Amino acid sequence: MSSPTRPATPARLRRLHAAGALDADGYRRALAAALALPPAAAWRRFLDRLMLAIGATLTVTGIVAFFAYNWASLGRLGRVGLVELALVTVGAVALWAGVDRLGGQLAGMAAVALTGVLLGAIGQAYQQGADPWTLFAVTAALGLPWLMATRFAPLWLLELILANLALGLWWIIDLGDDGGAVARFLLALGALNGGAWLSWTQGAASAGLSAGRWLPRVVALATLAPLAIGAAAYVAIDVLRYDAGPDDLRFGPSGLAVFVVWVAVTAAILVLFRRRWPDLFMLAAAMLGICTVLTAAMFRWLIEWVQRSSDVGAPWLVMAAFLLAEGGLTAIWLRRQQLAMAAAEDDAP
Amino acid sequence: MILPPPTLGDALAAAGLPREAGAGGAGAANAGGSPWYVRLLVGGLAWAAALSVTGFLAATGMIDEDAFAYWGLAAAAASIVLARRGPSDADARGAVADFVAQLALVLSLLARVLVVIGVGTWADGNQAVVGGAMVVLEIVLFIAYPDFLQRFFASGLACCWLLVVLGEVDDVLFVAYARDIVTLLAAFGGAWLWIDRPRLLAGRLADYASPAGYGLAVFVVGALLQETIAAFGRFLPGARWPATAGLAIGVVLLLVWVRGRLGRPRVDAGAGVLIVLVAALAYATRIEPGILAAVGVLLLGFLARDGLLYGLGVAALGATVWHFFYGMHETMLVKSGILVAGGLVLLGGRWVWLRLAGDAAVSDDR
Repeated sequence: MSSPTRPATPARLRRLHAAGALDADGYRRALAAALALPPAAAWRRFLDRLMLAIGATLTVTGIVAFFAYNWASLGRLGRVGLVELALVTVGAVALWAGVDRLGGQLAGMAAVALTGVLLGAIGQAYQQGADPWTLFAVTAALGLPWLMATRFAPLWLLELILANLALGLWWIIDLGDDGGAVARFLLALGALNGGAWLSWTQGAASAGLSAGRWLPRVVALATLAPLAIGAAAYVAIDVLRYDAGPDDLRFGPSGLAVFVVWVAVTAAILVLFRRRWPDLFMLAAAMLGICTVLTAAMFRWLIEWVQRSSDVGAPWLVMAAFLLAEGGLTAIWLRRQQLAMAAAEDDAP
Repeated sequence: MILPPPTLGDALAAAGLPREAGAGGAGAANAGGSPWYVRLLVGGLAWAAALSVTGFLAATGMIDEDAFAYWGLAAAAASIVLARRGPSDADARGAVADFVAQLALVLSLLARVLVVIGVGTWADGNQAVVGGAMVVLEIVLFIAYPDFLQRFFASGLACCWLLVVLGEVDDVLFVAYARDIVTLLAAFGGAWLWIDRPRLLAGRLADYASPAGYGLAVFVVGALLQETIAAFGRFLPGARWPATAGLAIGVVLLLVWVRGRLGRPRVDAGAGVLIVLVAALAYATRIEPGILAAVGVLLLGFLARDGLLYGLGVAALGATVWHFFYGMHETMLVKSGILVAGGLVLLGGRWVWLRLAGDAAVSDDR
């Protein structure tokens, strides 16, 4: 990409000025042009969307709050009937406004939220002892037609959040809390979000979903976080175990699986997002995971050191030096990748 | 939803310069400073390192508690010297310079921890003295330490320390109003930095404006999450309605200013609807000023075409609505009424505004 087609960010203009490519007056004028107030039409569009988004958010949150109040004087039929009425209304609004327009898409998203409220109200009125995770799982499943109809990226993210909540609640109830179960939960969470990330990167564009760079980055972080936490815990508890700690804390084979998957995903990110789809954010996310695992290992080792010796000060100093070196090396490596990416972009036709 | 900045060629052409005027410095233009997420990652590791050094000092008792403040000031001075000797963080710098920059950052953070403990020991925990000393230290670091991340921390933390100073005052009502006033001053100051950005970035305050703009925005949003801040035990809650009223006035002034800059009448029927909507939103959310603060941040992010600030506004809006939902100030039924009424007023007001603005087509695209 040649320089004139790059975004005119203030930092870029400033560097041009510092390099002598723009004189003081030219710099001032270019800065004013780059940071010019958006035109009137853009402001109208923005304010329109802002009012629509905030209005819809407040209204749906208010409806959720109303049913969370669990008003005793409102009968069972009244509660369920009210939510159904609200659901039918927002559904009709979505169809009337058009599911390919922002108003219809937000109404579709509200319909998914109200579906959850309806299921909650039914569960509240006719208690059957169902586990809470089913509420989120069924809501996510019933939201899929709305997602297919609206092709709205925030709704896709809401569906993923619902799936994460369902998985988390299912784990709390059905899987217990020993080390192996925690490792399996983290692995499942990584797999769920990883699958969503892969499906987004491979199929979002062809399915008509678009959200710029922020959404896949958020989902990538949601994939890496449980894997890195699991790998860090596995290294600290199982690998550097020494003789301390009860056995039920150990992650066991499931922990090894989390560690291997984390290594594989991190390696894939470092290779693919360095050369094939250059993205410094993804490299920084991978480095954050590596720093987390290394720091956890170091911390565990230092605790062992403190337990075995009377020297309570030196481990802290070693930790500080380690963190300093880790931070410095991370900054240096990421900086080099950034420069290499910029150079490769310059060389591209 | 924000507009991306124009391309370099378009910006140069709009400024009356040849589109290729920047070609001579292309290499310099493309080798920029580290992006915000790298700075945050490095900053997080630096905080952990600084806390480890503090742990070392506390565990060994190597330094007497009375001397902590002196050592803290020495660390601050050393960090400033190191930072000023190296290249700016906006420049492409080598590995050694990056490492020295990291060391300086760790020292500056360690300085804060040591000065807090040291001054706290001297003053027997008097919050006014500790907070006042830290405000001065943050100002010194903000001015003398040439680093974006450092100035971001310093501007936000200086405001937090002002709130700590208020913790020493016994009059709860005075503290509540003073807290709102500090937050409002930070909000208006931050808004000015974003509104006047083109002029500030071209002048002598270029290095200070952006980090302070982000720092103040983060402070305002954080300070308005009332119970969250109060939970730390050092801050009493604000009065809330003065903050809401002040923020509403700020949002209205911003909208009126934008209309004026766009060549529209500052006040007409369309502007009147917007003013009524802001007032209605302020009334509905008078116990949760963070919602209007988030709206203000969103407006400024759009105005400045700054994706990071806009993202902060989106996150702040979600956090404050969640905070309001789970807050204990009102029953769920009252909150439900407030939220539904506020939402419907906004949706209805939007419908009226679109008709008065005479351009319904603006809502047609995705």
